[in-house]
Amino acid sequence: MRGLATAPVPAPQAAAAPPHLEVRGVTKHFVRRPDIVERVAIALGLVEPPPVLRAVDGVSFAVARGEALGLVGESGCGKSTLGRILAGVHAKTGGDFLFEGVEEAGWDAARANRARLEVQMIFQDPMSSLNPRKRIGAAIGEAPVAHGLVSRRERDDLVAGLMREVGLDPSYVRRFPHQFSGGQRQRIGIARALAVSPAALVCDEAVAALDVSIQAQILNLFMDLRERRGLTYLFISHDLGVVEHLTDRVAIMYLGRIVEIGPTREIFARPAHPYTSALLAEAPRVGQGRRVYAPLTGEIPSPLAPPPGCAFHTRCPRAFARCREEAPALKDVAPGRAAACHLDDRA
Amino acid sequence: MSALLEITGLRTHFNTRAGVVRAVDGLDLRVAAGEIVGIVGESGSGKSVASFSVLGLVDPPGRIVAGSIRFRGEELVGADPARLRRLRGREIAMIFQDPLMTLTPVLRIETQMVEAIRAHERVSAKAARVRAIEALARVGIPAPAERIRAYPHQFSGGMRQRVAIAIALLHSPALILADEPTTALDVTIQGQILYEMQRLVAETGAALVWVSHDLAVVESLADRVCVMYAGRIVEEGPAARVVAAPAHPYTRGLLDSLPGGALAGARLRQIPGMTPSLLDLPPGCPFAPRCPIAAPACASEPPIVAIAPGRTARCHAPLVREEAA
Repeated sequence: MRGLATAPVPAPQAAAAPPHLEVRGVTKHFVRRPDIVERVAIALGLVEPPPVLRAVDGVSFAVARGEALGLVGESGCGKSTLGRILAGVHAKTGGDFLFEGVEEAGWDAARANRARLEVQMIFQDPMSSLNPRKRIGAAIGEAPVAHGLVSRRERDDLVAGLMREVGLDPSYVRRFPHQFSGGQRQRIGIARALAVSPAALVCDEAVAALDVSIQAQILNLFMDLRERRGLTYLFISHDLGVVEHLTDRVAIMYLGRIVEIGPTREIFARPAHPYTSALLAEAPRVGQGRRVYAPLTGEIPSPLAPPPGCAFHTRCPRAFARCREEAPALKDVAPGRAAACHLDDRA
Repeated sequence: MSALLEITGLRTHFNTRAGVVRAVDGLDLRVAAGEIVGIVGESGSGKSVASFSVLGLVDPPGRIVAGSIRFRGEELVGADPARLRRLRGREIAMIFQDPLMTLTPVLRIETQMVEAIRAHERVSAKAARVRAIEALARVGIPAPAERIRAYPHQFSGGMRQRVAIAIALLHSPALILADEPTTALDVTIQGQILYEMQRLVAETGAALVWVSHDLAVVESLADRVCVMYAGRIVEEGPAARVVAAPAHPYTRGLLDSLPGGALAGARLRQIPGMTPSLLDLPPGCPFAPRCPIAAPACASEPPIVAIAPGRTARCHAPLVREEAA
């Protein structure tokens, strides 16, 4: 058995080549746009302006070419928003996005084009990104023709090749999305992303909606594609098993920030941040037998009004005075590992 | 030991224009008082339809065409709808994946809970309100006396599920059917809900049937697990034993499909193909077309084989056999 997670991955800082994808202090804020009456009221000081949702709040990390990075966290932690910023779906509010080591401001037309095309996204529900009235051959072949990567004449061959690559029978090319099962639809979504020859895939909960037996098929497909095409992966998931299986490194997010990042195996074996420990402890695993669950602790904060200091302190079993006042910075705790926790300063 | 719930030969079919969908096709299940039973299966295995059948909640074109469901010895198939209505919510409660199936969005939690209490008991609205607040406190909702005035949309997903659980427990039912109640929740929230469920079931002595696609959750909770495939139970036994040494090739396949753990990074041993269409199931074992050890014998109906005391598998060639005693 070939272990993909054990494949040699160049450490970002050791390799001569710049990281494939990198973000530095990236933020994304969402604000509800007030209507005209509200704007007048705000101008007159009668009401407060609408609150700012800091979905992503100063996140930095780098992914090497061919590396698989997992992005883990619970709903509302900003992991999907972050993935969308990298895939060019969302515009960021602040910070830098570096493609092959070059900041966005320094991109020429060719690099800007590549940064868009070479990072493709795969969504949880492929049905929502497929036009139900369009045959799947047309859906898969649309983008490469539009971008001038292939001629109209070459399109059919490309589509047939892609369908074979993702495990779909090319004779289904004239079918509509509703004629496929969930797993097959996800394969269509993958073929469509691969059509523009991406170098990186951002998979946002790509297997979350699938049954276990179908999920295993799609995970195997992701591993095959990685080997065959040398793809870089950003794997966003709430499922720790999936992330453990597929990724080399993992970043744990909580309320818009990374609380811990490092090699997947090490973090799963010895988590440094109390939130990572809690996540790993709560996730049931097969073969552990019956267990007694622990009671509710602390209050889950709203991303609209994050608590002062460390965002996790309301639920952290080891929080102390400093956690309520000062937000901990992400700092190195071991080679290649970083965590954002005041406890590391005490040791 | 007499069973609290006893289902024998249950068949729930849906007559559609395309043909008869045999969603539940020969289900046998016994649940003893106070027992926690897990039902595991993938989409389309019939696990939800089975629990809906118990409550008489199968809508046309679905129909129970054969079999019997006995609750405390009383036959529920073909029972008077008024009788079923009295049982539902009082003796048998159900928790759904989406709590908004239990809660109406247009009424305050208070109105809904008071109504649910007074539907089954003659108590004053005031007394009912006090009990509702107690019930909310019991499932871990902070400041229940104030939160009871809120509407469902003012709660988070996890809190809403707690409200649904509180309503399910209002009348201390003898049997709780829970259909994927934590599937839509985050792991830490799921852990809290599982904690509340474990505690409440232990306190009230209610029997719990936990329906889920997640084998790990079921194993962590249940005494006994039933694995469903294509409308019937293919393997049944103590949860820990089934997970440690599955007897049915489908259970084996499910366990091998789980990512993570010691073999992280390796290719997963997937189950080939996909779940069969319930419209035209092959004769014999429905799993045979995907089974790695299928033999010619599998074209005939598989027998229910006793693997060990309390353990059965519906397979011609179970992977483990009863140890010679």
